[in-house]
Amino acid sequence: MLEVWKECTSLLKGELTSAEFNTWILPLQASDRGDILLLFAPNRFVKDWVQQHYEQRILTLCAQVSGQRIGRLGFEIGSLRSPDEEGDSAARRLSNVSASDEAERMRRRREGNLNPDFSFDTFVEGKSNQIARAASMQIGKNPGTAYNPLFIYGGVGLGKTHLMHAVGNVIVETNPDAKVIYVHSERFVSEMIRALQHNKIDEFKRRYRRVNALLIDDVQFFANKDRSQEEFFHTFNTLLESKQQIVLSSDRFPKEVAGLEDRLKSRFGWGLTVAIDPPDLETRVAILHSKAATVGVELPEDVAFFVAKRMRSNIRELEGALRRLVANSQFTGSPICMDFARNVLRDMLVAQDKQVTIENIQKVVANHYKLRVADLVSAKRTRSIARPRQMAMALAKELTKHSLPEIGAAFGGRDHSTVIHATRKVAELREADTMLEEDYKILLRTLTA
Amino acid sequence: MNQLALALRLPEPGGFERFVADGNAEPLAALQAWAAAEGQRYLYLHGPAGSGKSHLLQAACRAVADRGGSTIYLPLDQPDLLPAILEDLEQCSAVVIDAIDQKAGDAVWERGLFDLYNRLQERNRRLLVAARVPPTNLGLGLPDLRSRLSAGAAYALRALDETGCARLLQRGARQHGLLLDDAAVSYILNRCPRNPAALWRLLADLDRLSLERQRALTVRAIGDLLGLRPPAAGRTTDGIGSAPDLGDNSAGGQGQPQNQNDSRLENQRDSQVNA
Repeated sequence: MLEVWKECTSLLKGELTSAEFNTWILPLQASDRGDILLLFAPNRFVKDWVQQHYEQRILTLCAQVSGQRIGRLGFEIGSLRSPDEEGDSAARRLSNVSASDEAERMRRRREGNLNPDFSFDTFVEGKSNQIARAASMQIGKNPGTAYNPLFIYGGVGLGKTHLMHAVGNVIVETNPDAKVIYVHSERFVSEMIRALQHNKIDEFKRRYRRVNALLIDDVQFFANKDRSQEEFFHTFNTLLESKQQIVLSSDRFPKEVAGLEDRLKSRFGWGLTVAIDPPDLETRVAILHSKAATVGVELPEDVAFFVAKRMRSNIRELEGALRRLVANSQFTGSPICMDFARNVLRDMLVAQDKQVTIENIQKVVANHYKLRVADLVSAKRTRSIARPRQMAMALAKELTKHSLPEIGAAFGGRDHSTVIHATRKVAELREADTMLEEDYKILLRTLTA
Repeated sequence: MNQLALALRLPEPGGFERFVADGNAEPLAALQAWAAAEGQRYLYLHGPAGSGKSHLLQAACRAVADRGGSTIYLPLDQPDLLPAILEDLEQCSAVVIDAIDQKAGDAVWERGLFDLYNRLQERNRRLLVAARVPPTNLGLGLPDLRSRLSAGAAYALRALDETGCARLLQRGARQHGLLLDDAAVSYILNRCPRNPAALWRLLADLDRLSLERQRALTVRAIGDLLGLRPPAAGRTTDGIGSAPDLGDNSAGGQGQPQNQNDSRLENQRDSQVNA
């Protein structure tokens, strides 16, 4: 049966466009159950699509290839174990080493989604993060007793996730029996929804309420998800009562996270709240050196400064730049030098200096206020749309070189006086309304970062 | 009477071997390594339309599958795809996302992609993403996604220049078993959009038409076959066959057919409609 499938796919390859084949047929995995050809699709969407569009054709081709009628195909969601699961193999090898502590730790880490690469050793300390780092270390060593919860906040790509994993790794390091889970809030939400759908909510509750440490990343993603907040609230209370450690992160101070219930916000502030700020130049240079060292590359000082000066907004971009440099050096076989860095990073640096467009501002503002760009350029004048529109106009005036009439035109053909009014109104409101001022700052940061 | 061409097609541009790497040798090598599960797990590829992103991405997909990995190609410019297609893809050993710029600003897609990125990272899966612009220029509304996409090595693909296009035509012609001399190549390049996808299609059309009409591919024959030259007297009525659509809808083609040729194509379509 599998041979039949193999030939069937090679026929399909000739019939479908390359994109169709690679999107819908390539991800299928076949297995035979008796005389049924069983196809595994990675998710429901792919399965439904294939059934709807290709099932008949596959049946016909299979019959053609095998010379006999194939009754039906079986479709399932899931996967046969793929032979090249990187990373997993290392864990599997280790777990063969009869339950040694290290294997146990590895297993625990995997179960808890902990990334062993994110340790305190690989975390570069600087003025911008030393308090957060110290507090995290403290908690790693004394979970549940030092500060509970620990709330780390700061912009994207500054090391919050790294610190959370580091806490988890230290806890598992010290106590191989400890049960630690790292989970991103978005995932917590989707797991919960799935558990509700499949009647497995009790299992879900048990999973998260029986841990020694729960590390929840980016709690701002809980915004406006009432059922998840409710569930998380109870998980939070259960863990705190039994003195289990909770570490939370967010892009802003607990009280400022919009769309969260007050009872959650206040609880988030019960323990210790620490900030991570963007790293200064020296720290960025140190980060580059440290990351280069982990891949065994020597980074000249002038190159490190060159890159660190230009990649200011977050550490992930620094990392991306370094990876590109290292890859290029390996490809050409030449060492990393200034000229070489300038060349390689040209594309990225052009990107950094690129100007903000009105279109981009509209997208970002619409996204921030959960609107569509179409709303911003529409004739609608309800406040829920007019305010964001004014905000976007003010940002367009601030960040682009477009004239007032041009900006007006880009917002559904409005008059230049409307744009003047909008910029004045926003300036006024920023003084009077702290929420709006906060929105403005976030949007500005998003657009210029 | 025309020779009937059988509906046999060469396989679509699939593999790395069909990629003309002029000036793009480094990204090509990076993708080959990626597909062979070597080096970095996450790569980002950017370049203008027609620079070969989709070709390379799909070649990478095939290479992953050839070595037994499970993979999926997600061209996000296809309106049929909904965010639900991102669910559970961490089961695949490698995920390939094309045209991610098409979903920038769409909050639901951005969250889905962000979550997928995290899931793939946690499970040590491979991810390959492509767009026309680098991650910071995508205009993403979700800063978390933007910073994550910036964390990998980003490779710029450059569009093929004239020499590269010429090389592509010659190599493609050989694969089709066609003879195409330098004069023919420069004739084509001066008149047709210089982007790889359009050139591959043009070669396929030439292959079919030259067989149907039993003509060797001289400059004159190419002009006739593709409808690029004013018709010789009496040729319009016998209908030269369907003139291939030379414009490429996915890419702003350079060197569109000239006005004269446009009207020639128009005439031909009209005569077909009338017939």
